[in-house]
Amino acid sequence: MIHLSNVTKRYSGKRDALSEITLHIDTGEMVFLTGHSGAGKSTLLKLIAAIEKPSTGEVIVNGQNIHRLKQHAVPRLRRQIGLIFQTPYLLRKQTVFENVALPLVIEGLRHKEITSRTHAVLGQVGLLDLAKAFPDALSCGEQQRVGIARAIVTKPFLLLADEPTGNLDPGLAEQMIRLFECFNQMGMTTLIASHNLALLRQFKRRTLTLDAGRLCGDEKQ
Amino acid sequence: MRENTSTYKKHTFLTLFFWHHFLAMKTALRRLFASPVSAIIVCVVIGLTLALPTGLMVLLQNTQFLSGGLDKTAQVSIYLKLGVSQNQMNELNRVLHQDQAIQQVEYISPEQGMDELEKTMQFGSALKELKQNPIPAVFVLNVAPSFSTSEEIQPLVSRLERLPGVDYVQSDIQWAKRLKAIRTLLHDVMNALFLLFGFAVLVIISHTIHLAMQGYRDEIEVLKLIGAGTRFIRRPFLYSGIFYGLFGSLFAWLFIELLVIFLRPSVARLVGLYHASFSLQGVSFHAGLSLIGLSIGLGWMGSWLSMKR
Repeated sequence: MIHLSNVTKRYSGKRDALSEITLHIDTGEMVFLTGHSGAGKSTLLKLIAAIEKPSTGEVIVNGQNIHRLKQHAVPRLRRQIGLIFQTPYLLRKQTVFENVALPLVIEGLRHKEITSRTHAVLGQVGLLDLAKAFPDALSCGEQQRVGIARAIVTKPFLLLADEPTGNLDPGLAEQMIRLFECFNQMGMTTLIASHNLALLRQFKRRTLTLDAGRLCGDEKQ
Repeated sequence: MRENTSTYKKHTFLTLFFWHHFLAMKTALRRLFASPVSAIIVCVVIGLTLALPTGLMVLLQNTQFLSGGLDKTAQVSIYLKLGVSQNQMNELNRVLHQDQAIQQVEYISPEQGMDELEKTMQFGSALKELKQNPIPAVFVLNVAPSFSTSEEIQPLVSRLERLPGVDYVQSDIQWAKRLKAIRTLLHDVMNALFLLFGFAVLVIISHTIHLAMQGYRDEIEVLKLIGAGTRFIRRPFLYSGIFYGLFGSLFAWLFIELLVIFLRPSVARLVGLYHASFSLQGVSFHAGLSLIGLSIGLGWMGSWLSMKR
């Protein structure tokens, strides 16, 4: 599913954000990625989502080499990956329903299919009642759940989450990880980056640890 | 096995094309109405920019109406000497009717001439005081359409001047030529203005769309992250440019119509002094559609240029 081989990412004039990373994640796995701020967690997720390209090495996602991926093929790959960020990046002028339905609109699904699928996903994350609300009227946790609903609405093969619990209280954060477990059980390979080691330890999952751009731990629990 | 979107009911290629274009139009309109004041200002500026060359085009159309068919067939007037006999008149009439260069002959007797003078100049009883009618008999000739240039008409004029009983021959070809030259000049000025102001519209729309793109940068980033392609992201901005062009041209049309309504009484008063009837015309339907088409094209090109930036 995901294979990184000797991957280095260097931003111009700065030290290596990632250095000589080699790892493999199988289809259907749920993996945590942890490390201090600036350890390279976000960069690693960006490389997998084809937001950035590696300076050296190979990143292969679902059989596609990110480095060799043509510009026009990137959106197609992104539509197969669910991306979740600490800030959910919602469209403020669109309702919750419109935000969640957007990937399906881009994908070209029929209106009826979009409506039923979006309602189903909103039900899964417990936001069906807020379908017509605008993001600014929602709490942080609710906004994050809208972001998650948008990420999973296309039923992607891979779910990448970058500090999805960063803005949430401990109770909500735990609920959020349980939600990711549900999606993982539905067949989505899941990679969650978080610096909250205490939270991640509550779940017995494979944990990758980054330190200053280097992979320094790969615990299988 | 996990299902994905490939198992969902999707649009066909063609219906998806139209569906995405419909959505892009909706998004573009939503963005315009999101900030109505600035959108109206931009449209009014485009309208004013396009109104100048369009106004000139309307002026040109009106001069065409005013000149009627002057440039199609030339007219020659033959003023006869006073006291020409009826025999001479008949002979002249026969000669004129036989001439291949002449399409139509109209005779205006001195009495008819006097009546017309009385009607148009409103001299009242002053003309009745004259002992003798000073108006000469006149033949008004319409030259055949194949004789349209002054070079072609000049031999006819010379021939007519040599006929017995003829005092003076006047051709309107010079006047028609001058009018045609003025209209050609106006036409060239109009084209130059359309080019110049069209470029201005292009710059206005390009800059407006560029600013709009800056305003929607976050939204563009989100769309990119969730897998929207370049065309999906660009399309609403292209439609914004098209709508700016459309509404701008409608404003231009409106401004010209208002100007025509404002000027119509003054023009009618002026024309009335010459005892003619003429009503100032606005933008014709055909010209209006051309204006809209041109403006939409400029809008599309302006937004396309802003994306290339």
